Amino acid sequence: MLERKNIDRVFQENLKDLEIYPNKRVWTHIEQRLNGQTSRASMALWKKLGGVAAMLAVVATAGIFYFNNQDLDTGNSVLENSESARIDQSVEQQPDPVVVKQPIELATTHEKSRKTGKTIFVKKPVNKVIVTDNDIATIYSTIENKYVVDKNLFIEELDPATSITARMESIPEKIKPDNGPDKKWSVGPTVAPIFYNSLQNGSPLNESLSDNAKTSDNALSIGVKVNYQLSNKFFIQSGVNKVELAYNTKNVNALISSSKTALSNINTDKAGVILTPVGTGRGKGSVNELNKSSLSGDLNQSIEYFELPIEMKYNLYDKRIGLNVVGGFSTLILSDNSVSMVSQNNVTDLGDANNLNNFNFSGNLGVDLDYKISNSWYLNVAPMFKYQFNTYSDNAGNFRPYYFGLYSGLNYKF
Amino acid sequence: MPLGLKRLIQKCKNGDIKSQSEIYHLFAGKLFAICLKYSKTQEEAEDNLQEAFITIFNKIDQFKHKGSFEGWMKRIVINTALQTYRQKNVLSLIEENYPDEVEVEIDENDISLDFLLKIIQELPERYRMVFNLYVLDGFSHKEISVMLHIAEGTSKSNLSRARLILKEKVELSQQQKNAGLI
Repeated sequence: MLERKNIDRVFQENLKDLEIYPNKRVWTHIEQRLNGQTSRASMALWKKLGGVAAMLAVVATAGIFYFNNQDLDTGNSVLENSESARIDQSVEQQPDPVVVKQPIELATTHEKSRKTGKTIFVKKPVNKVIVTDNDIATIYSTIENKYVVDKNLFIEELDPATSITARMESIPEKIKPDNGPDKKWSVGPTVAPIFYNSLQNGSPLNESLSDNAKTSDNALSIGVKVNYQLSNKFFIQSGVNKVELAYNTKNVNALISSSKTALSNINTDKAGVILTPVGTGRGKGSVNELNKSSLSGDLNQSIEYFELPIEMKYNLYDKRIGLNVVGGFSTLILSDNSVSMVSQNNVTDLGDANNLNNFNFSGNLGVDLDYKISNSWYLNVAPMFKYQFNTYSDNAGNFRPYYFGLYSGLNYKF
Repeated sequence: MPLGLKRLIQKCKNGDIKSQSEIYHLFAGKLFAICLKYSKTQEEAEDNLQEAFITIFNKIDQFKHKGSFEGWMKRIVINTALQTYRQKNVLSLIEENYPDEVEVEIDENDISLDFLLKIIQELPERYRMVFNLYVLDGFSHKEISVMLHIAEGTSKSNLSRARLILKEKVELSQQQKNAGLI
């Protein structure tokens, strides 16, 4: 019998209240993502602390490496600490098993098999259910094993007729733009003013100058930084910097003499240099007699290094402005050093220090702020504290040099 | 709203995974049916359902029990389908002018549910969106024009075109059946 009907009504009547059960894997995926979110939220703080701990571990490891060279008895307890910090990272959150509460019925259904068994219809008095045979197994295992609720109660009380025709109220949200493929590398120039100082009094040039006031000249570091993203949160960065450090020892007398037994750590083309603090007795009068010239003023030592840093960066916050902690160490290669006297209007070159090691290291720790200009470009400011190891071969007194730099630059991601 | 459902929603707001599971299994059937109508393939529908439920559980705090919970979830499902549609960057179809509101009638015999679903899924992307939004979910052409960023007239002519394509497919299938090909 031919029964002509408006096509809209055919679709409306047939597809209204349709229920089709998705494959089991959909819930599995959702559950995984939900579990991920829960653990992310609860572990966010731990991860941040863990990141900071990892940074400290890197610095500590560098320190131990240095001290172990000096003292074989030093234990590796700090290494063990960093090891245990890593182990916790692998802890996974297991989903809770769902307890069976009460059996569920697919109402009074009758099956109508079609064709080659490709599709099976299960019809309910109110709700039509269509299930592919792949999903039949899913439904039944779902029913038998878990996620059981009193479905009939809900279906009745929900009154599907009203909810299905419920009107949509809001205009859909805007789509979040896709950020495109991940850019893992970034590169850019860095420039930093450097403040150089020592943790303790001491003078690498002459022990008698230990207590003299010392000031740091504003020095400079320029270089190139390369950054590679290891994971969501971790980055490794390296590069090369030319570092010029300088500091002044105040109120020094320099006696440039012909004496062969000069009491300082300075190589000089002058016959000998004797350094003493201003206002103290020169001790042996004989020195005075040999004196060719006497200078009084500030003693300036400037040192140039090529710095090769290897640092780990851990991200704490990542929006337009990003916040990271950075830790690592640098190899410093001595390229130039000189010592001169600055007295009133004159600068007299005294020579170079002979107790500076050609290779030394620094432990680096700092904070790194990013400002994203675009997908590819970001500005970067990083205050860094760098503590030097193995700077002087000997005779440096208690001089423990460190420097603080405010590194900034424009970086390109690719 | 039944107390049971209200309690479940409250537990979901606290992030209780068991309650999330119960909500999912209560409504997955209905919402997946919507996803299928709006999607070209089963896989796309599954992806949309997954995204929609993640949104539902993330935003369940914003559900204030004004109006039906199912209607609220359904809105999220349709929004998700619209986002997927927009991400596809559907090329503009050549606009053919079909008269507004073409009346299309078909013979209802021998049409199965899965056939109806199949031919909706086979519609060109935008025709499918317009047909679903207008015919099955009751949006006006004005609302659709905002959702799909098209002119109201385009929505109307897309709907007419969709109806004609569906009619052709139904009739072809019926002819084949009558000829004993299936």
